[in-house]
Formats: sequence, structure tokens, C-alpha cells
Amino acid sequence: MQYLIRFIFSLRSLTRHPLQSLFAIVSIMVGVSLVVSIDSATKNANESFRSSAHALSSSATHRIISNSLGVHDSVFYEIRMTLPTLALTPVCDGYIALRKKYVTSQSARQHTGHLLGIDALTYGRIRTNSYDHDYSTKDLRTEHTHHSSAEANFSLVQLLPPQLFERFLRGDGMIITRGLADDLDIQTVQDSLTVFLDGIATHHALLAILDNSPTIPRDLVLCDISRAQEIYYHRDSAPYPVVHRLEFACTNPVLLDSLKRILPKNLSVVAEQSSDNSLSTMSSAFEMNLHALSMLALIVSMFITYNTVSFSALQRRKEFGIMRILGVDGRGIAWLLLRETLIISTIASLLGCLLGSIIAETMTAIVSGTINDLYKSIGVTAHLQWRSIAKGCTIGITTSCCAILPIAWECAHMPPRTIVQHSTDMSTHRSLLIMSVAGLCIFLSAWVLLASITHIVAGFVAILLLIVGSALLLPLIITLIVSSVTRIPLVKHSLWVMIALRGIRLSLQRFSIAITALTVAVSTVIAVTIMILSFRETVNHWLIQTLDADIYISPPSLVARTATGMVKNQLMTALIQQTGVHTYNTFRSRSITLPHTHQDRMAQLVSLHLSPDSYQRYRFKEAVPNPWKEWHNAHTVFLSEPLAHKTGLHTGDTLLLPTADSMRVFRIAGIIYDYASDVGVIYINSRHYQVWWQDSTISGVSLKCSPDSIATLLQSSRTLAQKYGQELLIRSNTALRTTSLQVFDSTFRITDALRLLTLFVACMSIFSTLLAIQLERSHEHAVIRALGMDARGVGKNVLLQTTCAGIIAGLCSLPLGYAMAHILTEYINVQSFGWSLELQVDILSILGTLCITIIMAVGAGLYPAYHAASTAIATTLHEE
Amino acid sequence: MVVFLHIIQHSTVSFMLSLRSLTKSYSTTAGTTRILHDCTADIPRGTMTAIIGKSGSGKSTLLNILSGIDTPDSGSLLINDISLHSITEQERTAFRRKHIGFIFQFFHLLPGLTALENVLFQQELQGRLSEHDIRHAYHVLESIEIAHKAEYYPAQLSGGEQQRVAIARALIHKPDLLLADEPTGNLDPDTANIIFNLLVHRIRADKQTAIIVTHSMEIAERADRIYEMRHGTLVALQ
Repeated sequence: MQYLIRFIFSLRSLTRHPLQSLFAIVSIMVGVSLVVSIDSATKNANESFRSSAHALSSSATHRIISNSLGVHDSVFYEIRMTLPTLALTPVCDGYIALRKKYVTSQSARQHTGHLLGIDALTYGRIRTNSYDHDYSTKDLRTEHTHHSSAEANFSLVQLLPPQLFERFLRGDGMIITRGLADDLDIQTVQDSLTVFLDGIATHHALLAILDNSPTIPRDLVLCDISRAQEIYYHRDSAPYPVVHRLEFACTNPVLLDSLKRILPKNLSVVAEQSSDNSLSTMSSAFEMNLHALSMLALIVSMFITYNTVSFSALQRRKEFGIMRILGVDGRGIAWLLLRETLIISTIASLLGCLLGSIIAETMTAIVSGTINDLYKSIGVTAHLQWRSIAKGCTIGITTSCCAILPIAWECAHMPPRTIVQHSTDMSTHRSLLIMSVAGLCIFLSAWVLLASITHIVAGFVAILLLIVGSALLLPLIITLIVSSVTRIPLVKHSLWVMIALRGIRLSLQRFSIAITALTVAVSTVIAVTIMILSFRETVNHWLIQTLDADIYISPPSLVARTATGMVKNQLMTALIQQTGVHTYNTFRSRSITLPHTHQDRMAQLVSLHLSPDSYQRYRFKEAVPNPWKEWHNAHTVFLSEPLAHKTGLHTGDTLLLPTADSMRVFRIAGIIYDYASDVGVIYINSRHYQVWWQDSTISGVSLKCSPDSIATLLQSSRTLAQKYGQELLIRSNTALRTTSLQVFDSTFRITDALRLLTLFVACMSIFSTLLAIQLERSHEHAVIRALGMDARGVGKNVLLQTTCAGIIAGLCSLPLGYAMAHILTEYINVQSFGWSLELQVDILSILGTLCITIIMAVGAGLYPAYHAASTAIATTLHEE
Repeated sequence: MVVFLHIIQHSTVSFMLSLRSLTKSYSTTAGTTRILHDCTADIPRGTMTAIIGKSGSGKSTLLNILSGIDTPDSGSLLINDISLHSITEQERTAFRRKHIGFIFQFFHLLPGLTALENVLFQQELQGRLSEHDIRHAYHVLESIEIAHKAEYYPAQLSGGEQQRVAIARALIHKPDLLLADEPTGNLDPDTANIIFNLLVHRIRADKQTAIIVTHSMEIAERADRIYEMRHGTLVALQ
């Protein structure tokens, strides 16, 4: 009963200030929703990333992969004959573009599918061992049969009607998921599919549609291995039928040794775990980037939560003082505060989780778009992440309760009379000095930390220290600014301006919380803006310098930033032999897994055929003397800057690479600035690549010609592509640069959303704080009105005060934002991606942000100004 | 605007305050409370009038209505034959700024301004400040013996000192009507006596029309006329 009464008392306190409680709830809610949405989006993307990697993979323990053109079909049969006890299955695996057949490109979008070509008989044999829960028959129903045998494991023999199974084995068609079917507007299996790979279209019948299931990737396209081989035939370009890998389950070391002995030299056995490593290292930088953004959002929302909760407690200091005088002990006050905070933060956190779940869908779409552009074509499904919700709730409630602790401690330990007397302001000179010294020390410790530890976490901690240090320094800075401005003669003779300015100093504790919240939010926006601008400018500069050809030709790629497709050999020859082509460069790009000494890291191996006049376009970060002479050496490679950074390799070091027949040592002759991939690139002369990897295919070509013939060559190249039946992306230099920058911009779409949300949260925070301050000053406004100032004058006074707060926040956020940008580009970016960026500051955009800050502050002050102007003079004075 | 200027100019020519059947009630969730009921009085120009009464009798409400910061429910209030509550809020504010000086029980100095600035603020409301205004403000502060603390902030002044500044602020613009709501109610008896003497001295010296609300009969007896607020009605005692 006693607890119920206390609870009701707390609730009544909250409802007595409904507007304040509402703002507190909204601020915490938005902060929590930021955390939940970003965390959910990251987790969704990660899950899709991993599930796509394991898409219906067997329970194999190892893979047999080729270092060059895939695994020859015959190898599978040889192993089956030699080692009949080994459960082995061939797999073709990759991404394709899909469209409903007979639908024109204008009316239907292409969708990405994850094509898995399997041998149904042997694949099922491996899966049945341990993956039966993954892919039960309830997941697989056909339109023809609605067959569902609960006991059956994954086995197409049991699942499909005999005639359909026979068709599947014959490679007559494909099976897709219901989700993908919906995306493609396919209703029944009567429809057919058109598959695009490297711009080459093939048509396929649809055998069955799988019901959606969380255990099956939404983008799965299943077909027999023979059909997959046909689709990939052009790309694999081997003179013989190949599969992408052989999977097997083996825990017997003797059997494993036997297998290794009989394998051809160009094939190697890797544990499944190794392929996981490659994948995780590939995406780790991006994950780190997302976590960085999430952390920034978290810091801002934590700060704002602190602001909101501590402010509402500060407002009631006088009430607490009176309660102390009446006999309530300090502990009672502390519990009262904690109880109220718990009520508010729980409501707000739950609402925040709800809002976050809604925003998460958009965030997930943005994140998946970025992953598709940068790393791998995956379909990310947005679903509720309970762990993110739990995290959001915990953060919301914990930070709110932590925020209230210092205030609760203060109210509990100060003499009652002091609390009452200092209800307006408690910032003494001494506490201001202590705070400032502490702030300065924390601020400086951030730089000491960065100078002493070169780890990405140190960068994040340094940003946190900068924010906390600045928050502690801000009250002193505000005092100094206000004191300086009030000494200006023009200001000195305008007493209503003085009232506004000195009001900030008088309510320093309240104003400093509001100004700090705005400063932190705006400086975060400035830091991210500077970072993106620096990145963009560096990339643009690099593109201008590197792209020296006039026309660029490559097959369409599902991953915007990489081109791994193939151009048909005959078409390639025709393209470079066109009239008007002066010189040409070609490239071939493929993924490669570095040896275990480099954590099985995945990298891009790019073979280049360069005309000598293109050499000067490449900028070296470090290189041996005359690197282009070394370039012609058979055992020479160049590394991209990110790869050199991640592997710790330098010019002159050697690198072991898996070539077609064995591991070979290559010497690093230079480190090249490269912003195309954070995964890392190894450049090799095409002449030597063809020998070592026995691969003469080409992923793309760039043509140089006279300016007059660009248009003609663009047209004639398109005609040639049509003639040879391959869809190609044929772009001019400018178009390619524009596309590249568009891809770049889309990469940072999530930061745009984050910036907007951060500003919104800051706006909410400053609005609630200003309103609270003005409510507190309503007595002063009543006096001014009683003395004869009209309502408009009072409103102007409030607006002037909020404008000043906005200007101070804007000015303080400039150096803080720049310092944060410096850490983001020089430390966090370098540690996570390895790119060298030149810090670029766009004065106009910074001024724009400054203006937005002031506009936000003024906007946030409009209602408080209206409220102050409409003060009921007599009632307010009477209440006093 | 022409009408408004006419009112202002007209009001400065001769001054007299006349209340007729003023009533005022407040509605709360608990019901309607009648504060003023049929308040009628005439205040001649240049006189000092005291209004006494118990707490909650409606003295402050009447003062608020007289200053124009509150409006009566019915009745009329004429200041120099001008009905204060038939003009707009903006006009009333301008009237208050120019013709009325207010002294509050709790001083109500603006915390962000020094003593001198608090006094000057009233002047600034009349228009731009000049050097002459600053000298005049010093002079007024000197006349009430607080000039030596002109640069002090309210928080650095005692209650008596704050009230001196409040008196200076109320008198700086030579208002036609001075309203004082228990000006010594928040001070100890000795300080209260000193402050009230000072106030009476200034009122007499400037031939100021003043209405002082007080609890103290001793203070009220020094006024030219005394009214008692009894059950919401003004009753003339002297």
C-alpha cells in the first residue's frame, strides 16, 4: 500500500507538468529509437550477409576450391571413385539478376537472386546429416503438389513429385522462394524466368515456389548443377565444364590427407571456417563504420536523455528543498527522483523501441543498398530484432537513471535551505572552475590517448572524451562569451538585450545543458559532413586523376563498385579493333583469398593491361625506384593502400598468392592510392596474370580516342555489344565518374538519415529546455510586463535569448566538430579502411550548418516566446 | 492610433482616479470566488491614499486592476475621465509604462540587471537611453541613499536595499500614479520604518498621487485618506 501511494505520488508529480513530462518522454523516445533502428539495421544486414554466405550450404566441414578457373567436373568423379566413403557434393554459387520472362525492362525491375546450383542427390546426403532443421519440408511446397511430409528431411526425391524431381535433375528449371516470386510478380509456376549474368540473358522454366521461411534466404534461386554450369559457362570461361567448389564433410584426418594427396595442384582444401573469415574480414570495415555511426548516435541520444532528465529534476529542486525542510531525508528524495525517472524512461523507452522498429525498416533498406553497392549483392530482410529492442530499452532506462544520479545525490546531500535558495542557479565560481579544469583535462586526454594508442577503439573513446570534456568546458565558455558581449558599448546601452544575455548566465546550469546538447548534436553533424566531404573530394580528385580513358566498357555488375563479369572474347577483340581507338587498357578482376598469415583475408586480384601513357595516372604512396619498370617483372605486384594497411605489408615485402597450380611468392613494388575498394586490391600485369592463373578473360576495357570520335565510338560499341548478344555498360569518362560519385553518395545515405535524426533530437531537446526555462522565468516576464513592456517586447526578449543560445552553440560546435572530424578521418577511417584522406572544410556548408543551428534555436524558441508574451501578469505575480 | 494618442495626451493634463462599482471574481474548479464587490472610491490628485485589509481581502487584486494589469468583471475605472479598461491591451501597457509606477512587496527587481540598470530599465521602456537618463537615475538613487550600490546585482543587496532600488525604479519616470503593494511587508520593522519614511518623503516632495496597500494601521495613518477593504468592498475610514 505504501509503495502504491508513493507510486501514485510520483505519477501525480509527472502529470502536474504534463508538457515537461511529454517532452522528456519524446526526447528519450527519439534517442532510444535511434539506437534501436541503427542497431536493428546493422543486425539485419549482418544476418543477411552471413545467411547469404551460408545460404543452404551443406553441413560440410571443408571445401575444395580452385585457384584459377573452377573445379573440373572430372575431379568430382575421380574423388568419388577413389574415396567412396567421402560425402562430397559439387556446388555452383553466385549472384544473378532475375526478371519475369516476357516482361519488358520498362515495366519490371530486375531483382537480385542468389543462385545455388546443386546436385540434388549428393547435396541432400550431406545436409541430412545435421541440417535437417534448416530446411524441412514445411518450407518447401510446390504449386503442383502441396506435398508436405513432416518426417522428410531435405531431399528433393521425397519432396517433389517424381516427374518434377526428374525435371530438376535434368536441369529443366529453377525453384525460387515465395518472397522472390512476389518481387518478380510471379503468381504460379506457369511463369518463366529470365536470368542475366554479365549482360547475357538466359531463359528458364519455373519448377516450384518455396514458402517463405526464416531459415531460407529470401533471394534463393535453386537449380540443378548442370543448369548452373550453363549459366556460368561464359563467366567461368574454362575450356571444360567446371563447378565452383566441392563441399564435403570429413572429420577423419587420414581421409583428409588421402584426399589432399590425390587433388590436382591447382586445387586446395580449405576449412569452412576459413571462408567465414574471408567474408567477415571483407565486411568488418563496413560493420565498423556502422558501429561508429551507431555509437555517435548513441552518445548524442545519451547526452540528450541526460539533458532531459536532469533538467526536469533541476526544475524541482525547490520542491525537494521544501520536502527536506519538512523532514524527508536525502535518501527519500533520491528514491523519489529515481522512481519518477524510471516511470518516464520506461514509457519513453518502450515507445522509442516501437518508433525504432518502424524506422529500422528504412534504415535496413539504406544499409542493404550500401552493402549491395560496396561488397556483395544481398537481399536484406527487415525484421524485428529483439536484442536491439532490449538494448534500446536498457540504454534508455539506464542512461536516464544514471543521468538523475548526480542530481539525486546533490539533493540528498545538500542542506535543505541551500537547495531552496539555489533553486534558480547553483553554479558557483568554484564549481565552474572545477568543472572547467576537469573538462580541459578530459579534452586533452583525448589527444594523449590518440597519440599513444593506434587502435580504432581509441578513436571512439577519444570522441567520447572530446564530447564529455567540451560539455564540462561549455559553462565557462558561455560565461566568457556572455561577459564579453555585455561589455560591448552598444549592447551595454540596451537593457532588454542585457536582460536576455545575463539571463543566460543567471540560468547557466539550465542553459549550458541545452547549449551543450545542441553543440554536441551540431558538432556531430559538422564532423560527419567534413568527413564525407573530405572523402568525396579525395575520391573525386582520385577519379579525375585515374580515369584517363575516354570510353569504359564492362558487363553490368550486381555490385556497383566492382566489376567481376566477363566480356566475350570475340566482342572484346571487336571493341579494341574499332576505327578511332588510339590505345586501350583492359582489366580482369577476381576475388582471391590471402593465405592464413593474413587471416585468410579476401582481396581483389586485378590484372591490368596498361598502355604506357596510363602509368603516370597511378599515384604511389610508396614504391621502389622506377616501379613501372618492375611492373613487367613476372613476380611483381602493387598493392592498394587499404590492403597494405590491413596486412601491414610495405614496398619490398613479399606476398604469397595462390596461383593456378601452386602458391607463389610475389614482390610488392609499390603501394597505390586507391579508393575503389576498402577490401583491398592486388594489381598484377595481365601478361603474367594469364600465365600464373591460366585465365585470359577480361572484365572490362577502356578505350582512348580523339575527342571527336567519342560519340561515334560509344554508338559503335553499343552496336557491337548488341551484335554479339551481350549487354554491356558503355560509358564515357564523365558518365563513369558521375556514376562512381553516385555510388559514393549512396554509401553515405545512412549518415544523411542519421544527421537528420540527430538534429531532430537536438531540436526536441532544446525546445523542451527553452520552454522549461521560459516557464521558470514567467515571473520575471510578468514583472517586465507590469513595468510597461508590451507582449511583443517580451516575446522578442525570449527570442533574442534563444538566438544567443543558438549562436553560442553554433560557434562552440565549429571547433568541436572539426576536432571530431579530424579523429574520424585521421584515426577511425585509417584504422577501419586504411584510406589517406585530405581534410576538406567547405566554409559554405559549415556556415549553412551554423545558420541551421541558429534557425533551430530560434524555431525552438518561438513557442516559449509566445508563451512568455501571453503571461497572465496578475496571476503570475499573485502566485509569487 | 490617433484616438490612442488623444487618450495619452488628455490623461496627462489633469489626473483623478475614480472607481465605480468594481467587481472581480475568480473561477476555480472549487467554484467561483468573489474578490471585489461594488468597490467605489474617488482618489483626488496629489493625495496619498492607504488601503488596509486582511490577507485575501482583495487589496492586491484592486491594485492590479488600478494599474491595468488585471481587468474588472464589471464597473468602471476612470483615470482623468478615461476608462482604462475600455482601451486595448497595448494601449493599457503604454499607459502603464508612462503614467504608473509600481512598488511590489517582493521588490521584483530583474536579477540580470544591476541596481542602476534596474532603475534605467523603466526609463528605457520610455525610449532610448541617454547620458542624461543615466545621470538622472544616479540622482534618484542618491536621493534614496542607495547610489553607492548602483553597480550591485539584486542578489548582492539586502531586502531593504532592494526595496530602495524598487522605489527608485517606480519614481524615475515621474509617474502620475504610484501604486505600492505592501512596500514594507517583507522587511523587518526598523528597515520598514526607514523605507516607508523615505517613500512618504518622496511622495510629498513630488506631490505624487499614491495608493499604498498595507497591513499596518500605523503606516496607513500617515496617509491623507484611508480605505479598508472589507468583504471585497472599499469602506472609507478617514
